[in-house]
Amino acid sequence: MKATTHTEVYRRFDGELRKRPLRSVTLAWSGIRIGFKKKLPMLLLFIIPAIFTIVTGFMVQLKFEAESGTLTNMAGMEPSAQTMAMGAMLSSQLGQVEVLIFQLLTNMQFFVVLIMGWYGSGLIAEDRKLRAHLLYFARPMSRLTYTAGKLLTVMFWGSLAVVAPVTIVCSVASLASPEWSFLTERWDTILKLELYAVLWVFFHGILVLAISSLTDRRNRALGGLFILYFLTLAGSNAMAELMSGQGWRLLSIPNNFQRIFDGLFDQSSPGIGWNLEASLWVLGLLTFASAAILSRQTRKLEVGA
Amino acid sequence: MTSTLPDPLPGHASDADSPDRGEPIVRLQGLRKSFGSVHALRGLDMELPPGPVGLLGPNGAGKTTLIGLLLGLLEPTEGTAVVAGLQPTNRAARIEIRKRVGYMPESDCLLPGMTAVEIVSSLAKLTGLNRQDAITRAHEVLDYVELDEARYRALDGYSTGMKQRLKLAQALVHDPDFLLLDEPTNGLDPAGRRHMLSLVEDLGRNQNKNILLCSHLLPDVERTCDNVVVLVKGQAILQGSIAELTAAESRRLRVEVEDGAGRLQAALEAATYATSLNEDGALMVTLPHGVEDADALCGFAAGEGVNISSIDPVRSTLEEVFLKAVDDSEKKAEATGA
Repeated sequence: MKATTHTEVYRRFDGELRKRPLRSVTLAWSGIRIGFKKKLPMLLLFIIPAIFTIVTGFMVQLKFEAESGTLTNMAGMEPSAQTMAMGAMLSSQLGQVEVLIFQLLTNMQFFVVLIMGWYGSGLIAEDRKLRAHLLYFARPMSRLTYTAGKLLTVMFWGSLAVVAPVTIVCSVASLASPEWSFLTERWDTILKLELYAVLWVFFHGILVLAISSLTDRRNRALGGLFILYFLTLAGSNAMAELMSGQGWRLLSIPNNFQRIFDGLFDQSSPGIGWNLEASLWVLGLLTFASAAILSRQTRKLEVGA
Repeated sequence: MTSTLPDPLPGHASDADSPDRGEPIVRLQGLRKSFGSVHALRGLDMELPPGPVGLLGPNGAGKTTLIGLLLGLLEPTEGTAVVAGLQPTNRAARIEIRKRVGYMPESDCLLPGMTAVEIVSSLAKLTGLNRQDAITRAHEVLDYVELDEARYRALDGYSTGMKQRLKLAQALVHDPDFLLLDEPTNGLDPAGRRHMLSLVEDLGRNQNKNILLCSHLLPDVERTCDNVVVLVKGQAILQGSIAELTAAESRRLRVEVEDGAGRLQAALEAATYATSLNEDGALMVTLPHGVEDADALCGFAAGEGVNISSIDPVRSTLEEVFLKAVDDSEKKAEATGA
């Protein structure tokens, strides 16, 4: 049967619905696909991280190649002295490569915030503006699934900017190092680097989404993120200088991440002398606050408010 | 309290062969929903029969709240709502309801940058279809709503009519038996409106879909629905079959005369008949109490020497029924001080 003004016949669906579909992955994939369609912003945002990654990769490769000549010169040495010298040289090489990767990570962090802000600030704000959430919540989807889908989307872009470069450079280092020594000797550093990158991406992902959920304009969310980020950074550093108290620096997100970085990799940065636990508490509280905002705002979206 | 009732959704895929379409698709009992001091729904008691049902009401009547409750997005303050045999009291029941309901929102709600195929197939996957089924089904429903090559274009260049049809397609993609259509003809030109109404009519009348059509446009409801519910200030003030509600009233008559309509009108008014003269020259007459049929009119016409060509009972339009119901409700509210 067909209606009078159209020619197509309605077909029934005789398949079955899956019991446990990965709805958050589907939602994330549709968000990622939209991101890939905007090619110019993608090019502009990723070109610098890509250059950093390639340059660091080359530097790591060169670092190992440059020392390979020294190994040939050791051929005439006593075997025990040769082993000791080779070990010391390798250790120094690996240490230098680590520093290169640390620099890459540090240099990349603000680009990651920019990229995640760009791709994430519209994820909930645009849904609210267009009322697209009505299409999602009218389906068998919970708020948690919705939030997870959005978080996966923004984390994908963040990972592309920081987790992927770290992985690429660590892979180059592993392949270029003699006998995979970077992988076998410094596997704990690789794991910590990846953990730190994922932590950075997760925290900023949830923060971006929380800000995005508070408005219905993408630009406002992006502005809000940068105001929060840079105002607390500049404000806390200024207060620390004025009041001569390092505790003020705890108010800044990047300072807390720097403290975690220092703790993970046994580094020390000037002006950051507080306990690691304090930074974990601050970031934990911010994560909790962001999650609470997201929970409240997505509930409002769910009921169509 | 049990969350599920034994009777499944009539016409659902699992009981597609069931001939029984007599079970109500929605049962509301004493349904109340308040947001603080604002009472959106004030004790709704109704049963929506299967088939297409129109939901009418002025702004703020509680239509959106009712949709939220039917989808299990809101929890009632009091009372129960049973949708497709399921009571949305827990998460599992709410999820199950949303598998069986297709919702077409009033607002634009489509994310730009994606194509129609991408949107519909993504939403199908979110409902639970596997990848292959989602793609196939997306094309089927896009064929049905006649989004041809445009389905491969990004939404940015779509007309309102195309967007509305796309929204209908996404509501249909999992082949639900109960469709909630919120203002489907909103913003459409006459051709687009005609097309959309023909789709809704086909779904309700030929595809046996149960439809709740929310609309401000009474002719749309009159054309596509068999039953109607009028919601005012959170209460159902009128519900029933459109045919019955708009049935001809035996006391209101349309009288066509060859000439001398003015003379006949004067004579009738002198005898306490309420009359009015239409622009087309026909005389509208309401019989006074005590006069049971139109024979008396013939006596007046004969007395005035006027020839009557026809006498027909007047059939109310849905608009008249709606306005009268709203009017009566307001008068009642004023009288009770509510």
